[in-house]
Amino acid sequence: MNSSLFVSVVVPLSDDADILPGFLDELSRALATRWENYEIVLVDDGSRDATPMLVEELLRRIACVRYLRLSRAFGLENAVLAGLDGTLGDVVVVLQPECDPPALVPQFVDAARKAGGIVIGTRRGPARDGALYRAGRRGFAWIVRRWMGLDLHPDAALFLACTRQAMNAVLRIKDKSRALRLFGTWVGFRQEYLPYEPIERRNPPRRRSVLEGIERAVSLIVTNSARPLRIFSVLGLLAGFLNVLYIGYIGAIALFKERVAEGWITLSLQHAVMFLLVFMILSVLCEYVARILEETRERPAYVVAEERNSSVMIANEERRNVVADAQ
Amino acid sequence: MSARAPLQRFDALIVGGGLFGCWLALGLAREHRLSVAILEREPGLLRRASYGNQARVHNGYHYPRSILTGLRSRVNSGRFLREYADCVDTSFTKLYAVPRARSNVTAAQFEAFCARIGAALRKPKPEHARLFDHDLIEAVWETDEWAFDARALARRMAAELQQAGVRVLFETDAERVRAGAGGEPRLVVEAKTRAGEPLDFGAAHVFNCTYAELNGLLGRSGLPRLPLKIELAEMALVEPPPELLRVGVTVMCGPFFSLMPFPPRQLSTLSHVRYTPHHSWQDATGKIDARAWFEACEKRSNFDRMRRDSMRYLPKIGACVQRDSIWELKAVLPASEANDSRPILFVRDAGLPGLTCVLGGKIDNVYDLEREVRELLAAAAVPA
Repeated sequence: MNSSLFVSVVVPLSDDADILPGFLDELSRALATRWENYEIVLVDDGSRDATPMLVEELLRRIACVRYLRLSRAFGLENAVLAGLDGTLGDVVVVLQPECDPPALVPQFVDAARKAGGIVIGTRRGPARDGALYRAGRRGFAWIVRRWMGLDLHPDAALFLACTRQAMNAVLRIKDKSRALRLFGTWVGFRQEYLPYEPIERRNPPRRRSVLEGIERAVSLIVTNSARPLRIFSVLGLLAGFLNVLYIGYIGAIALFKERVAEGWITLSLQHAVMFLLVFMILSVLCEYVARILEETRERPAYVVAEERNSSVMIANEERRNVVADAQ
Repeated sequence: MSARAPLQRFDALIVGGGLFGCWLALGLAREHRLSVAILEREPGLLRRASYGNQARVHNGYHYPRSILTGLRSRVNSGRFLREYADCVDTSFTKLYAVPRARSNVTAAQFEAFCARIGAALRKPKPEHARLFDHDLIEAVWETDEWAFDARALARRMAAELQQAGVRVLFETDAERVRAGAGGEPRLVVEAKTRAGEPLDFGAAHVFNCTYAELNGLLGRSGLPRLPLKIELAEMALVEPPPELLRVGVTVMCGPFFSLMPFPPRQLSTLSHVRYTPHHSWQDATGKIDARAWFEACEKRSNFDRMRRDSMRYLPKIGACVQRDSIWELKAVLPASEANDSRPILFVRDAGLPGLTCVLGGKIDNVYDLEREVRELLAAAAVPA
């Protein structure tokens, strides 16, 4: 029994009253057998079922549980953030009641301490979501790698463990569009993946909507990467360049061709110049919008991983604090 | 069955030698010239709830959502400070802070409240402002709030009670109150000494000032209990680091904490709104015997959690070293749950004519009882 390590576990709830008692019992047992000091933070993301009343009864039976009920549904990531904001632990674990086995929490905690950073669980075994959703995840993971330069495993789950230091760095990111799994890699602490087998506490399992997934993905891509803007900015420049070529072509026609249709040169020239201007303006705007995106994001400019100091304190211990003359 | 000792007669009996009991006794003896006796279970005065608290002499800051409580604290604090100057520590700096998230008041609201009740807020010194994490804390002020020394106060009370001719009986446990029969006075209190010897006292007026055990006396007497919530509260006694040595801090107003110097032990107390209450119950049902439960319950300190959470707002608290914990039962009125009101409970004829139940949660508000007592005695003087 490790008595000095304090473990915090954050559990987001969303209409999970049917599976909560079983889950909480298991989680509480898994923690109590390993550690003396722990806390379980349940964050109720606007559940409309009997969760509040159920929790009332559970709080009387199970020790070390805190229950936070959000005023309405704010979304999974924001609910998790609400839980993380007040955690006390040296190691913080996040897991979902529906599919993550509490018995693995000690394993995650050990892995996080060993890595000195973040451990993210990756799902193994039979797929939970539809083929379309899975394809979407793969696509998103590719985009994240190429466009944001971040490492995201396509099977990454929201079952993760994090040291206090890494967690404090993540909490300093004040973006409105949140993704804990992404931020973990952004702060740069050591990140590892831990494959695990999810369980199915609910039968039939809840399916996640592809449309919602796409919406979230787009939101995250736009917030975290200026690549799409760059791409179109470059396209704009390219189009502008093509317009310049076309103007050259018009000039050549004007100079060397006989019998040009009436008004063609003027019209073509006017179109080409207009389009050129438009593309130039758009390109420049793209750059500035990219800059605005950078500036409005409240992210720390840097994250210090650790600090060490000289062990030699005074340069010359022999020297005395005496001067020979009064100048 | 051995014969009971003859009934000792007084004009008024006070059950409970805490601050409220002592103060009432003094008022009755001096102003109203009654013969008074105090029955106290412990071997000294001010041993229980009057001692087991954060020793705060309130000046209004602590209850920003209740103008009345804040104002009365402001009005009474000056008088308390003057009358008991030798029992109050005014030498430390008291800081109040409001966090950015999860607080019931914003910094602007707190300032408006203090302006309204006339409580001073000053800009803190740089070394004090630096103590806080300004990502989490919105504003910090220096205030006028002090700490009382319960032991010095007990000695003062003992001296004043003796001078006023009040009889104080220690290690005397009041078991029940009943109506007097035959030639007995209106009320009779049956008590027992520590040795087990029964003692009876009779008086026209009995004041139940037993705080968290208020319902104990009522219950044992077969009288209806009052709707109080009883909480097991822990205050950690800590040795603060040098930066917090002559400093008191309160972060308002929600699941936050307070660090206050504790004069009787030359240490500081750390109390956290979330981690100080360990267990609570509704006392009106009578299912739990407060005294027996308190003696038997497991007291497992929450200091580590208090420290960890407080550290987020004030990192130096992490360097506090726990020396002990003070455990006490706290009584909360139903109304106080919803807002910051902290009135004194003064229930006349609580089950028996002449029996008054008094419960106060803040010692400096005790002056508000003066008028109540006058009215009570005036009503009693009118012939029935």
